[in-house]
Amino acid sequence: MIGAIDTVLHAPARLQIAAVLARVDEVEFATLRDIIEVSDSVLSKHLSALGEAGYVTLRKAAQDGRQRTWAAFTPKGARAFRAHLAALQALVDSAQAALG
Amino acid sequence: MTQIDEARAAMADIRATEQRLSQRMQWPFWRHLLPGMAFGALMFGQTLDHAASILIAFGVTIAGVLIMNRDRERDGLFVSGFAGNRARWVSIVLLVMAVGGILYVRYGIAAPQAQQPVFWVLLAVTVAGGTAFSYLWQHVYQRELRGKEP
Repeated sequence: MIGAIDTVLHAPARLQIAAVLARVDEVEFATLRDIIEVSDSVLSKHLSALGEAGYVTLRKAAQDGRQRTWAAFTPKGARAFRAHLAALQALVDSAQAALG
Repeated sequence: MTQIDEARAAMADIRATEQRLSQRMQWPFWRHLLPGMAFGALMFGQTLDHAASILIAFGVTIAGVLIMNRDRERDGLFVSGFAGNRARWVSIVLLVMAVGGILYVRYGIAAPQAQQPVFWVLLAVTVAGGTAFSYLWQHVYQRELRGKEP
Protein backbone atom coordinates (compact mmCIF):
# COMPACT_ATOMS: atom_id res chain seq x y z
CA MET A 1 0.00 0.00 0.00
CA ILE A 2 1.05 3.64 -0.35
CA GLY A 3 3.16 5.49 2.21
CA ALA A 4 0.33 7.42 3.91
CA ILE A 5 -1.21 4.18 5.11
CA ASP A 6 -0.60 3.74 8.84
CA THR A 7 0.89 0.31 9.49
CA VAL A 8 -0.33 0.33 13.11
CA LEU A 9 -3.93 0.73 11.94
CA HIS A 10 -3.61 -1.51 8.89
CA ALA A 11 -4.82 -4.75 10.54
CA PRO A 12 -8.61 -5.11 10.01
CA ALA A 13 -9.38 -5.60 13.73
CA ARG A 14 -7.37 -2.50 14.68
CA LEU A 15 -9.11 -0.50 11.99
CA GLN A 16 -12.49 -1.55 13.39
CA ILE A 17 -11.38 -0.65 16.93
CA ALA A 18 -10.29 2.75 15.63
CA ALA A 19 -13.62 3.21 13.79
CA VAL A 20 -15.48 2.78 17.10
CA LEU A 21 -13.09 4.93 19.13
CA ALA A 22 -13.39 7.72 16.56
CA ARG A 23 -17.16 7.86 17.19
CA VAL A 24 -17.31 7.63 20.98
CA ASP A 25 -15.63 9.33 23.92
CA GLU A 26 -14.95 6.07 25.72
CA VAL A 27 -15.94 2.41 25.30
CA GLU A 28 -15.84 -0.54 27.69
CA PHE A 29 -13.82 -3.64 26.73
CA ALA A 30 -16.78 -6.09 26.54
CA THR A 31 -18.88 -3.65 24.48
CA LEU A 32 -16.00 -3.08 22.07
CA ARG A 33 -15.44 -6.86 21.80
CA ASP A 34 -19.15 -7.37 20.92
CA ILE A 35 -19.11 -4.64 18.27
CA ILE A 36 -15.84 -5.77 16.68
CA GLU A 37 -16.84 -9.45 17.00
CA VAL A 38 -13.47 -10.77 18.15
CA SER A 39 -12.34 -12.81 21.16
CA ASP A 40 -11.13 -11.25 24.42
CA SER A 41 -7.53 -12.27 23.72
CA VAL A 42 -7.51 -10.83 20.18
CA LEU A 43 -9.01 -7.53 21.36
CA SER A 44 -6.57 -7.36 24.26
CA LYS A 45 -3.61 -7.93 21.92
CA HIS A 46 -4.71 -5.22 19.49
CA LEU A 47 -5.51 -2.71 22.24
CA SER A 48 -2.03 -3.28 23.69
CA ALA A 49 -0.46 -2.62 20.28
CA LEU A 50 -2.53 0.56 19.85
CA GLY A 51 -1.59 1.61 23.38
CA GLU A 52 2.13 1.06 22.72
CA ALA A 53 1.85 3.25 19.61
CA GLY A 54 0.33 5.99 21.78
CA TYR A 55 -3.00 5.81 19.92
CA VAL A 56 -5.18 4.53 22.76
CA THR A 57 -5.43 5.08 26.51
CA LEU A 58 -6.73 2.29 28.72
CA ARG A 59 -8.36 2.97 32.10
CA LYS A 60 -9.42 0.47 34.76
CA ALA A 61 -12.56 1.21 36.79
CA ALA A 62 -14.56 -0.83 39.29
CA GLN A 63 -18.17 -1.53 38.28
CA ASP A 64 -20.56 -3.98 39.97
CA GLY A 65 -17.66 -5.32 42.03
CA ARG A 66 -15.56 -6.08 38.94
CA GLN A 67 -12.65 -4.31 37.32
CA ARG A 68 -13.56 -3.12 33.84
CA THR A 69 -11.29 -1.67 31.18
CA TRP A 70 -12.26 1.44 29.24
CA ALA A 71 -10.56 2.48 26.01
CA ALA A 72 -10.38 5.91 24.39
CA PHE A 73 -8.48 7.48 21.51
CA THR A 74 -5.59 9.80 22.30
CA PRO A 75 -5.37 12.97 20.14
CA LYS A 76 -2.47 11.26 18.33
CA GLY A 77 -4.63 8.19 17.64
CA ALA A 78 -7.53 10.30 16.38
CA ARG A 79 -5.19 12.20 14.02
CA ALA A 80 -3.61 8.96 12.77
CA PHE A 81 -7.04 7.44 12.06
CA ARG A 82 -8.18 10.52 10.12
CA ALA A 83 -4.99 10.44 8.04
CA HIS A 84 -5.33 6.69 7.46
CA LEU A 85 -8.96 7.11 6.42
CA ALA A 86 -8.00 9.90 4.00
CA ALA A 87 -5.29 7.67 2.48
CA LEU A 88 -7.78 4.81 2.01
CA GLN A 89 -10.31 7.16 0.45
CA ALA A 90 -7.63 8.57 -1.88
CA LEU A 91 -6.82 5.06 -3.09
CA VAL A 92 -10.49 4.26 -3.75
CA ASP A 93 -10.99 7.63 -5.49
CA SER A 94 -7.92 7.12 -7.67
CA ALA A 95 -9.27 3.76 -8.79
CA GLN A 96 -12.64 5.29 -9.66
CA ALA A 97 -10.95 8.15 -11.53
CA ALA A 98 -8.89 5.64 -13.52
CA LEU A 99 -12.10 3.89 -14.54
CA GLY A 100 -13.34 7.21 -15.83
CA MET B 1 -5.44 -8.59 -3.57
CA THR B 2 -4.43 -5.15 -4.89
CA GLN B 3 -3.92 -2.04 -2.77
CA ILE B 4 -7.20 -0.67 -4.08
CA ASP B 5 -9.08 -3.86 -3.22
CA GLU B 6 -7.58 -3.71 0.27
CA ALA B 7 -8.62 -0.07 0.63
CA ARG B 8 -12.17 -0.87 -0.50
CA ALA B 9 -12.37 -3.79 1.93
CA ALA B 10 -11.07 -1.61 4.77
CA MET B 11 -13.66 1.12 4.05
CA ALA B 12 -16.41 -1.53 3.97
CA ASP B 13 -15.20 -2.88 7.35
CA ILE B 14 -15.35 0.62 8.83
CA ARG B 15 -18.91 1.16 7.54
CA ALA B 16 -20.05 -2.23 8.89
CA THR B 17 -18.52 -1.44 12.29
CA GLU B 18 -20.20 1.97 12.41
CA GLN B 19 -23.55 0.37 11.58
CA ARG B 20 -23.17 -2.12 14.44
CA LEU B 21 -22.32 0.79 16.74
CA SER B 22 -25.41 2.72 15.59
CA GLN B 23 -27.66 -0.17 16.69
CA ARG B 24 -26.46 0.39 20.26
CA MET B 25 -27.26 4.07 20.27
CA GLN B 26 -30.92 3.85 21.27
CA TRP B 27 -31.99 5.78 24.35
CA PRO B 28 -35.41 5.34 26.01
CA PHE B 29 -37.87 8.28 26.24
CA TRP B 30 -36.99 9.16 29.83
CA ARG B 31 -33.31 9.53 28.85
CA HIS B 32 -34.28 12.05 26.17
CA LEU B 33 -36.49 13.85 28.67
CA LEU B 34 -33.56 14.47 31.04
CA PRO B 35 -31.83 17.25 29.03
CA GLY B 36 -35.18 19.06 28.74
CA MET B 37 -35.79 18.67 32.48
CA ALA B 38 -32.26 19.88 33.28
CA PHE B 39 -32.63 23.06 31.22
CA GLY B 40 -36.15 23.52 32.65
CA ALA B 41 -34.77 23.26 36.20
CA LEU B 42 -32.05 25.82 35.43
CA MET B 43 -34.68 28.15 33.96
CA PHE B 44 -36.97 27.74 36.98
CA GLY B 45 -33.98 28.47 39.22
CA GLN B 46 -33.83 31.98 37.70
CA THR B 47 -37.19 32.80 39.34
CA LEU B 48 -35.82 32.00 42.82
CA ASP B 49 -33.36 33.85 45.03
CA HIS B 50 -29.61 33.67 44.38
CA ALA B 51 -28.87 30.85 46.88
CA ALA B 52 -31.71 28.65 45.60
CA SER B 53 -30.64 29.29 42.00
CA ILE B 54 -27.07 28.16 42.78
CA LEU B 55 -28.40 25.11 44.64
CA ILE B 56 -30.46 24.08 41.59
CA ALA B 57 -27.47 24.60 39.27
CA PHE B 58 -25.40 22.41 41.62
CA GLY B 59 -28.14 19.75 41.62
CA VAL B 60 -28.29 19.77 37.80
CA THR B 61 -24.50 19.35 37.65
CA ILE B 62 -24.65 16.35 40.02
CA ALA B 63 -27.52 14.90 37.97
CA GLY B 64 -25.40 15.33 34.82
CA VAL B 65 -22.56 13.31 36.36
CA LEU B 66 -25.01 10.58 37.45
CA ILE B 67 -26.50 10.43 33.94
CA MET B 68 -23.03 10.05 32.40
CA ASN B 69 -22.30 7.20 34.83
CA ARG B 70 -25.63 5.55 34.00
CA ASP B 71 -24.88 5.82 30.26
CA ARG B 72 -21.51 4.13 30.84
CA GLU B 73 -23.04 1.30 32.92
CA ARG B 74 -26.04 0.66 30.68
CA ASP B 75 -24.50 1.13 27.24
CA GLY B 76 -20.85 0.20 27.91
CA LEU B 77 -19.83 3.37 26.12
CA PHE B 78 -20.09 7.12 26.46
CA VAL B 79 -20.75 9.61 23.69
CA SER B 80 -20.85 13.29 24.56
CA GLY B 81 -23.29 15.52 22.74
CA PHE B 82 -20.36 17.06 20.93
CA ALA B 83 -19.38 13.88 19.07
CA GLY B 84 -20.09 13.60 15.38
CA ASN B 85 -20.13 16.32 12.77
CA ARG B 86 -23.71 17.43 12.16
CA ALA B 87 -24.78 15.96 15.53
CA ARG B 88 -22.40 18.39 17.25
CA TRP B 89 -24.28 21.31 15.71
CA VAL B 90 -27.58 20.00 17.07
CA SER B 91 -26.05 20.19 20.59
CA ILE B 92 -24.63 23.66 19.99
CA VAL B 93 -27.99 25.00 18.75
CA LEU B 94 -29.77 23.45 21.76
CA LEU B 95 -27.22 24.94 24.16
CA VAL B 96 -27.45 28.43 22.63
CA MET B 97 -31.27 28.37 22.64
CA ALA B 98 -31.48 27.07 26.22
CA VAL B 99 -28.94 29.56 27.57
CA GLY B 100 -30.73 32.34 25.65
CA GLY B 101 -34.05 31.31 27.19
CA ILE B 102 -32.56 31.14 30.69
CA LEU B 103 -30.98 34.61 30.34
CA TYR B 104 -34.26 35.99 28.94
CA VAL B 105 -36.13 34.71 32.02
CA ARG B 106 -33.54 36.30 34.30
CA TYR B 107 -33.22 39.70 32.59
CA GLY B 108 -36.11 39.99 30.13
CA ILE B 109 -39.14 39.09 32.21
CA ALA B 110 -40.26 41.32 35.07
CA ALA B 111 -40.00 39.78 38.55
CA PRO B 112 -41.66 37.80 39.94
CA GLN B 113 -41.25 35.83 36.72
CA ALA B 114 -43.28 32.86 37.99
CA GLN B 115 -46.38 35.08 37.93
CA GLN B 116 -46.00 35.90 34.23
CA PRO B 117 -47.76 33.53 31.79
CA VAL B 118 -44.88 33.96 29.30
CA PHE B 119 -42.53 32.32 31.79
CA TRP B 120 -44.60 29.12 31.95
CA VAL B 121 -44.88 29.02 28.16
CA LEU B 122 -41.10 29.43 27.87
CA LEU B 123 -40.55 26.73 30.51
CA ALA B 124 -42.81 24.26 28.67
CA VAL B 125 -41.07 25.05 25.36
CA THR B 126 -37.65 24.53 26.99
CA VAL B 127 -38.55 21.12 28.48
CA ALA B 128 -40.27 19.94 25.28
CA GLY B 129 -37.58 21.47 23.05
CA GLY B 130 -34.71 19.95 25.06
CA THR B 131 -36.36 16.53 24.77
CA ALA B 132 -37.01 16.96 21.05
CA PHE B 133 -33.43 18.10 20.42
CA SER B 134 -32.15 15.01 22.25
CA TYR B 135 -34.20 12.81 19.90
CA LEU B 136 -32.94 14.85 16.96
CA TRP B 137 -29.34 14.45 18.13
CA GLN B 138 -29.74 10.65 18.32
CA HIS B 139 -31.33 10.57 14.85
CA VAL B 140 -28.57 12.68 13.28
CA TYR B 141 -25.79 10.72 15.03
CA GLN B 142 -27.25 7.39 13.89
CA ARG B 143 -27.57 8.68 10.32
CA GLU B 144 -23.90 9.69 10.43
CA LEU B 145 -22.92 6.21 11.62
CA ARG B 146 -24.98 4.61 8.87
CA GLY B 147 -23.24 6.79 6.32
CA LYS B 148 -26.37 8.72 5.36
CA GLU B 149 -26.84 12.46 5.25
CA PRO B 150 -29.48 13.69 7.72
